[in-house]
Amino acid sequence: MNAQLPVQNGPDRRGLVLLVDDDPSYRVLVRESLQHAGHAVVEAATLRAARAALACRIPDVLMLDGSLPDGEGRQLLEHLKGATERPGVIFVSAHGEMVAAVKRLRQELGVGFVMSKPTNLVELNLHVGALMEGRVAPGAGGVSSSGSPALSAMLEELRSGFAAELGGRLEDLKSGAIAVSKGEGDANALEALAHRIHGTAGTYGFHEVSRVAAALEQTLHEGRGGSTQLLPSVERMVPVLSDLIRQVAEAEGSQLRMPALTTVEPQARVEGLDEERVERVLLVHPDLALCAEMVRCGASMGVEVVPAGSEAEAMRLAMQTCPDIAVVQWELSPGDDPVRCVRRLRMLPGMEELQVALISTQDSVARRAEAARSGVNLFEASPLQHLSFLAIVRRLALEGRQSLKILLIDDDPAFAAFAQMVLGAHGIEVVVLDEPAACLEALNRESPDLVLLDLMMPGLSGFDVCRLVRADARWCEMPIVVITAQLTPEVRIAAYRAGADDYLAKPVVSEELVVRVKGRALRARQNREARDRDGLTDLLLRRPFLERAQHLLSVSRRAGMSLSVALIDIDHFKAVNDQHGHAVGDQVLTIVGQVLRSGCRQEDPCARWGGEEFALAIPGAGAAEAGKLLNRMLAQLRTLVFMGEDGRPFQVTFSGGIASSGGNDLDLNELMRCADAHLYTAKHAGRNRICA
Amino acid sequence: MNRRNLLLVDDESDIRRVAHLSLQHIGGWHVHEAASGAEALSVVEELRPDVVLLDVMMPEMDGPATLARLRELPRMNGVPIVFLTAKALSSDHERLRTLGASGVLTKPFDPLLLPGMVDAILEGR
Repeated sequence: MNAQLPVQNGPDRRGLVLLVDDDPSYRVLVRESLQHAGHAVVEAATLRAARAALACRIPDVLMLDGSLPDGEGRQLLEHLKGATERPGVIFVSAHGEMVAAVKRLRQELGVGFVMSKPTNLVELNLHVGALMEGRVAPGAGGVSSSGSPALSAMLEELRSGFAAELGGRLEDLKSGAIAVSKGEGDANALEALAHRIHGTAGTYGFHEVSRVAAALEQTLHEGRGGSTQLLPSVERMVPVLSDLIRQVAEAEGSQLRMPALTTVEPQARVEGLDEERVERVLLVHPDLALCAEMVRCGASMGVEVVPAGSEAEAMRLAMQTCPDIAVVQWELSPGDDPVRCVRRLRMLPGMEELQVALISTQDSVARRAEAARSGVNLFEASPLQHLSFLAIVRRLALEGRQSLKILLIDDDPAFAAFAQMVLGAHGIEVVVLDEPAACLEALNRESPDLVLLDLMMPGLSGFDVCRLVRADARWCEMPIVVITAQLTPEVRIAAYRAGADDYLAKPVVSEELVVRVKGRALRARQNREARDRDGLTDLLLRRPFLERAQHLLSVSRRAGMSLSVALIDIDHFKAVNDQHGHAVGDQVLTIVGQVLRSGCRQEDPCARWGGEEFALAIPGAGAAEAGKLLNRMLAQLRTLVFMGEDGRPFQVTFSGGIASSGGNDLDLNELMRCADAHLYTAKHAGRNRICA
Repeated sequence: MNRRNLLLVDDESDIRRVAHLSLQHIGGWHVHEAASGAEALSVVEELRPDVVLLDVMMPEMDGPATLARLRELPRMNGVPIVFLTAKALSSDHERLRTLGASGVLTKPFDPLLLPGMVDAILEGR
């Protein structure tokens, strides 16, 4: 059973909330917050009033205080027990309820969430949204926008007031920048103005304006000592500002502005979006020829590389392109400073989380220490080459994209919703399993990066789950973090003994949950990636290839689609090695790997099968389509000319065999054997061709 | 539940306006504004805020200077002071914390999330 709790509070999930609490100031607070999220609120201060309200209309959500002047909150729940139509319930308790009591409230009295006072309003809105999700069909039964939320309107009014003046402020900024670039105006005053706009514009939702102002502020700040570079750098900002002024004038509600404030959405991350996103890499390197090569190399793996020859250019391009990753060469042109460059990049608004690698031709502890202090994610002491560049980008993309997935095994929906909210806000997908006995199936299905496990569950206990997972060879390396309210040394030792890697104490501090889970999951993922890949070609090794292909095969079969597998062998590779030497042979392997990699989609498994043999799995493709794809790759390889050690040029081809899962029920091994047979046919038919 | 007092010190009226609104309506605070460090010092004795939000970069008396003066007042003993700054570097934040701030919030901020961030800092103390 895979109970994935909805936690997103979408704008169309609105409904009626009955708020029962005897504290008027608490009611005001909650009411405003709920109304702001678009819900209608009916209030009651006593049990009696609440019963009367329920008699009139059953709300979508009942938010109930545990103790009221005329009785206990749970009395009202008892009263509701037999009713045919029941609201979702949030039970609010001033004294944190014990776990056992929470369980009873949930199981016997149908409480959805238990919250404590003081109440976190963001969480409250999420819980209300989750309960609405289960009850209110989109667009139906909801409440009309009769009570237009006052706060939202006021904020919107402030915002339009600010917008009206923004053009004028930017004009001031621009004329100031023109004056300073001519060596005339007051640079300090201009810096102060840029600083103000940096802070305010972003707060009012004008993020682009904020970003540009921050860059100008930074430029001016660094030019304080009277640097000769200041004037030209400020001058370069002038057209950017003109552009911005024009956009602000034109853009009534365009992409410059934040969407109208309607709901609080802490994790508006849409699944699938990340996969489509192209990684953008800012490469700061003085060697333009090398930059151009890396641009081509990036394009081959679906990465957009933006080259910048100097620190100033890097800042300008970063502002324009908002890269996800920056790779900075330590040795820059005179006057530029790599560490300062990293700091400045990170200071641009919205780029605090920019993933940065510093590449240095020299290795020294001092340099490493300086790099580490500047907060870079990676320091590499080797010249930049195709493979090292690709490896760096992959590693940083992994860290930055945070496409981590964890499996939470817990029977408490309140904690599951909490974990999904907290981790989801950091881009970590949380799959919830409330039936511990199904953990192995869930692992197979989801292959998560980490398991988060409640120790105290009915039925199969957390200790047993640990042992079960550890006893399976496939999962013996899976990081397991247990959560427990009991922190005695005995419990901890028992958990470690059962195979846990770490524990978290309940109640869980949300930040700690994030850092512990993320750190472990990320390192596990990195280890797996490193272990799964061939050192020379950076393609998958055979076993991880088979695992991924197996997964894709089952998914494809379920979806009624076909999966094609291909085996590829470089023609006369032994002759290449014999005539040109092994170093050249390695180069050929690398290039062929790149040709294959660039010919298929990012997510298609692509492996070095062994020696000079490669394997591909192409989901969604029949034999004919896969044949076309491989022929394209072969055609591309035929255009490449290699250079032997003796300077003699030579060319390389390959042969390929394809097998498809369409119209048969062969398993993966049989498919691979079938592809191998077709490869054999291709070789015997004269090589340099594809057979299906 | 008594409404708590919050003193918001920032020389920018735009920031004060939007922060005031959200802290009052979402956070449930009684918000009082001061446009400078000097003004903050003149009202703080009478106001006895439960928390102070303090802009770092202000003319004349800046945030750190104001914080130092506030900390001298016996009334302010134990009252959390949170910096608001447009500097996003964690090293800057570290520096500000060492001055005795309870927390640091970054500008620009999302007005809807600001009250929650203030609460988080207060809870984490």
